[in-house]
Amino acid sequence: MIYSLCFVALFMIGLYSILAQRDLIKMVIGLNLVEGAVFFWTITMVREAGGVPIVDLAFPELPMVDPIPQALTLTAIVISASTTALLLTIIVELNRMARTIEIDSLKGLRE
Amino acid sequence: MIFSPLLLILLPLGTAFLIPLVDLFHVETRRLMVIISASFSLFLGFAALWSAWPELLAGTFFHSYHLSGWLPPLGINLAFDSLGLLFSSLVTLFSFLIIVYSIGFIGHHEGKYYVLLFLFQAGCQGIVMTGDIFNLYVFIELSAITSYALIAFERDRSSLEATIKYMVYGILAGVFIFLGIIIIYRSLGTLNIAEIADNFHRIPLTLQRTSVVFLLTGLLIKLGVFPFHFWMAKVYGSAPASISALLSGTLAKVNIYILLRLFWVGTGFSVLREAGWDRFLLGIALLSTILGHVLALREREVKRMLAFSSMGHMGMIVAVLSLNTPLGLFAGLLHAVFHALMKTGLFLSAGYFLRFREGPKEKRFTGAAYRKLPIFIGFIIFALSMIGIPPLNGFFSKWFTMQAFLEKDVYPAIALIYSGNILGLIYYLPFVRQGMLGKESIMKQKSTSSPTPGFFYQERFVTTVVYILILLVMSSGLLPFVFQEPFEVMIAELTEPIRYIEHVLGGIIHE
Repeated sequence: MIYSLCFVALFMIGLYSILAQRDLIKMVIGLNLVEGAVFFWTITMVREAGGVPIVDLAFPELPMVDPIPQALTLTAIVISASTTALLLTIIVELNRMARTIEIDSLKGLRE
Repeated sequence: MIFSPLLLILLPLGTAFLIPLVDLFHVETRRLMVIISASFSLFLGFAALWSAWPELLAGTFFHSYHLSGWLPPLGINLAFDSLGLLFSSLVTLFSFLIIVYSIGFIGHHEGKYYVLLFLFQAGCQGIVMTGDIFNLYVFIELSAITSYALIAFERDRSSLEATIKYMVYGILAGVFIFLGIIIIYRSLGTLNIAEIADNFHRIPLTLQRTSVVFLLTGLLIKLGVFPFHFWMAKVYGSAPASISALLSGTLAKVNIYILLRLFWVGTGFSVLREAGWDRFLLGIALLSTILGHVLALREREVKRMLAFSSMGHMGMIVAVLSLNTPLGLFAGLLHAVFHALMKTGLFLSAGYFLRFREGPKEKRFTGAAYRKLPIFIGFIIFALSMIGIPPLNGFFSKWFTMQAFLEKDVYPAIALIYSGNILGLIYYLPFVRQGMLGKESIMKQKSTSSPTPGFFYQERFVTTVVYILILLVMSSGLLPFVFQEPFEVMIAELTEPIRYIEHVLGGIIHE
């Protein structure tokens, strides 16, 4: 329950900073918060169950952690890291041309 | 089928990773490799369609491939059914045409450009073939990331701004889709689309609806339907013309495929209907149709105008699909195919003219008719087809769309689509006029981004692709009944998802 509340809180903070912030870097931070919230929520769903997810032939009925959410999260983290890197590169490139990262002073982002 | 469907993904993927390696040693070899690989991939797509045609008509076409031998629902599987075959053929055809077009169009950083283009093709093929919902997400992100980089390809201020805008929307869409998938996994413990389809009704109603809301929001952002359309004009207007054509011709249609696969097969359409959201979908799709056509009226720049028209047509496709009648699905699929042909043609022929002039974007289309008349006539033919003039293909898909709305007594929709046609006439005419003006200003080739002359770099490549598209638009207008039988099979698959489930889980495997 506490995890779900944390998830909602993080998600909302991230969404707020995407929608309300006028600074591109803060917007990227917001995007990362949203993604991080979802990843956090994904791994917390397996925290109850037992041990390492390798079937022990001596005790095959022992409970084990579901490994799939962790694998999914790992994949999604890689995707998120690469999109963030690309986004930051493009912001740096734009800053070199326009000398600003404020959304209000970039005409092309408002239209 | 005579070869494994996996090849259709592996060929572009392998080519993409080979290009930088070959580029290190010899540039001409890389150019040759791009052409050979694109042609081979077209050949594979054609062979797949050719060998599958009898099975397709008989309604038995289904191929699955189990990666590393794990049977579903345990492993990741490819599930290639007739709907997938249709969209896979579209992806193959348009990737080939756009690669050939780019040979005469892109003049800087070619190596990187083709890497991204082939990766994009692999991503789209993966989307239409995979039978695993998380795999679907990975392929969506693969095609999204490559399209971000391709939009920023010109590296001027406008395209960078467009990319940032598109990326913020794209990342949010990705997060929403991921969240929807996780909610489904949390309640069912499976990621296989067939097993999800089999068990989706067992999830508690609130969770069902929450996951559908997230998946639908993500997809509507990607499709650019009304409340999320703000990225479209900027992105299509600033990207290179070949990439705008790829986005509106291929990626948008692949997104329509995801919509069909997830909400007709994966969750079952009854979830949407019982919540009353099919009406909601119809409403916002129709709103985006009329809004797209109205916004296109005030555009003075040809690619931005095409972007808004694209928004209008995508809205129309989503609207007619959301009726969920056989006729509606038929009209939606038909318009998806035809719209891809017309819009790719429009973007590619407009891109041909825009390349020749420096200066403000609004003025670059002036004098197009004097530069190359056949291409300009092609532009007019595509525009007429968009408006829906009878012998061309746009007329038939709109005809079926209107019939589908009539059948369900949705009269406002008919009025909106009809006024969309009239508005289309009004917003295409100024560009035709502008193209015929300004004879004295002979169009000059832009120096920065034109390919260096050589054996592979001739204008001929660009013009040939446009001629092929004109031919396809006119011939598919004369033979719309070719699509009738295979589409009926696909519609049966969509309305009875039990077939898909049995094919994947029931062990009926063709090798």
